[in-house]
Amino acid sequence: MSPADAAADRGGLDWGESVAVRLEDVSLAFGVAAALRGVSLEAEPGELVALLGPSGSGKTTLLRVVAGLLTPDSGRVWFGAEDASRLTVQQRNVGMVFQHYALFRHMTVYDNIAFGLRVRRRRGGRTLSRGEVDARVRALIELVQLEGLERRYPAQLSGGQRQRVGLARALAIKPRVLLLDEPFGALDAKVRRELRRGLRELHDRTGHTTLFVTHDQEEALELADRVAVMRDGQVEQVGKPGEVFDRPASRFVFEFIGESNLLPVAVRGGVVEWEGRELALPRVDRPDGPALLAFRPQDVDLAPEPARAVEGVVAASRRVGAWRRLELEVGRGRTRLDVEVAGDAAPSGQVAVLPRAFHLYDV
Amino acid sequence: MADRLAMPAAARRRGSPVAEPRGLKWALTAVALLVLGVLLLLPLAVVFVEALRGGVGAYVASLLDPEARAAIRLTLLVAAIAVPLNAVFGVAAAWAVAKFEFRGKSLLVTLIDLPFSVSPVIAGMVYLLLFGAQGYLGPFLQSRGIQVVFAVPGIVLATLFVTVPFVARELVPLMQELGNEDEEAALTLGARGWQVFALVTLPNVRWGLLYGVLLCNARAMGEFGAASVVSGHIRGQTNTVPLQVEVLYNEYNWVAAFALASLLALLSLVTLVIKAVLERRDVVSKAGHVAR
Repeated sequence: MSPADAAADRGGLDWGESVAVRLEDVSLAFGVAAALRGVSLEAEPGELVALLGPSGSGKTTLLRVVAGLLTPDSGRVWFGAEDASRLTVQQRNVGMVFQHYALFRHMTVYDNIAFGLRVRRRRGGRTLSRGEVDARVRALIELVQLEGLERRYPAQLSGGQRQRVGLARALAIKPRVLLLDEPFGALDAKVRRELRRGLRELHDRTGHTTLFVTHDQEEALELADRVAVMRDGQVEQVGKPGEVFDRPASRFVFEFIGESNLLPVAVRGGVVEWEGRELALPRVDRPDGPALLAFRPQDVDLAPEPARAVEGVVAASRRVGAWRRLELEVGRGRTRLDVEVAGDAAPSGQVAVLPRAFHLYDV
Repeated sequence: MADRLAMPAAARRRGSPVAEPRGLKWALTAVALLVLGVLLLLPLAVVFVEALRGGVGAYVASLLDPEARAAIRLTLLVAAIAVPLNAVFGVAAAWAVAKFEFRGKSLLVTLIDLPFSVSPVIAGMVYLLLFGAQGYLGPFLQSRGIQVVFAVPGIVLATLFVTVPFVARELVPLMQELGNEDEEAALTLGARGWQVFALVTLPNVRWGLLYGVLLCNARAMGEFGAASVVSGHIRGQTNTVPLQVEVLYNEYNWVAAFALASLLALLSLVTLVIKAVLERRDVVSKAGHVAR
């Protein structure tokens, strides 16, 4: 297949060449507080990687380092085989969509999208003609479905429309990497879901290496090829959404991704003990001592042997579709657990449960 | 019936609960109109009435008088130098304050405001002290044939001093509110520094800039105190319009004085109208319904 065919395959537009992005031990401090502490991360060409973490975890800082808007104190950024650390923002050729879109308010939708082509008309050794700029802008407007709104100003658009203008503007310059900062942060839930699907489809068509920042774990798990969970300026875990969800590398990741229960237990000789009783759980490979038994509400069964299970009192019980959601108070510490059980029967009073799947973390 | 009585009087009259009683409303309006009329509108009317007292012919004649024309020319010249310089300075200062963090930033902001708190007369005196014949730099400049005080350069300097804050004060809060994101977006799209400034920053603040330039211009043309000290009142040479008005007034040449004064009054009226238009434009473009 010739390159031209490949371009046609990707929606009729030449999107430019996507490259791998590699961050190598990147550190950056703002004053006393460290914003990034030795971050290494890699995204393959065409991969969609989510940077997931609470606010202040350094994910936006990381994105800005990749864009060249911030210069790290140490470490390198690679675009393929090229050391991007040596390039200016303009030379890096990244498409960035800002959290509040940063559309040029005095320009129309059309002029916003054309901006990057006009200020840098020399591309690949030749200058883009007026006609070529026009053709590309029109194709992008069609791609993000903004036909008929070309002459509008940003203030006359809805949040979702603005976001798509920002995306089209970033795509116009044939970016090597696409960077999205909380792309759905400023939108309401319904629009978010629509645009999420739209972004995934767009990515499938254009194939840009994409890094996107989010604090919404659901968004990250649904959209990304891989998720990098960040905490305090470090990458805590990187993996496919399923891996991160099923095998969280740390208590932080476990708690940040999905709902969680944490129960203080003790491990003795590979057996998990809770308040003096041995639980009917598989043997664990872990040194003796106190630990936290972590499990998700969905991974819980009612236990046939109450004496070897976690026993507690039902504090609240709600029917949620085919499931019933129980709030249990267990043990002397009256620890609260959320569990989901199948069936119509509403258990009340004393209930014993055991997790099907669980993790053990240090206290 | 009982709850009707419990309602406040204003609410009973279908008005909003925060509305004042009618009598108070009228009283307040009357006071405001009276103050406005006596302090602002009446004097303005007097200017035009006095200017035209001798008829249109005398009015035109006093404006065409060589000394009057020289004063008008000088005022335009001073404004033509001072306003662009202040516009450039204002944009540069606002850019620095809004976009960068540096030591002494709050000092710079305070310094920009200094001319507002210093009496213009003092500004004039300072220049006299610096550039006058007995001043620090006067003899040095004079030996090279450069006359600052009692000449056009002095008037320009004094006017510059007085009008420094106008553009900067308008732009600093505006640029701070706008932040850096637009500029950053332009950079990632490949724009060079000057392109970012010309295509993004400047258009974003254009109405604020125009507004500041307008106020700066009004002040530059109307400046009296500082200009008076450094001008020397040489008729036909170093008298700006406001200074010429004073000279004529002191000679009891009322028609000529008010004729020139009417020009300044007209300037302020025009300024007010443009200012109102700009403000509306600003509000409209912020609301996002501007149709161009």
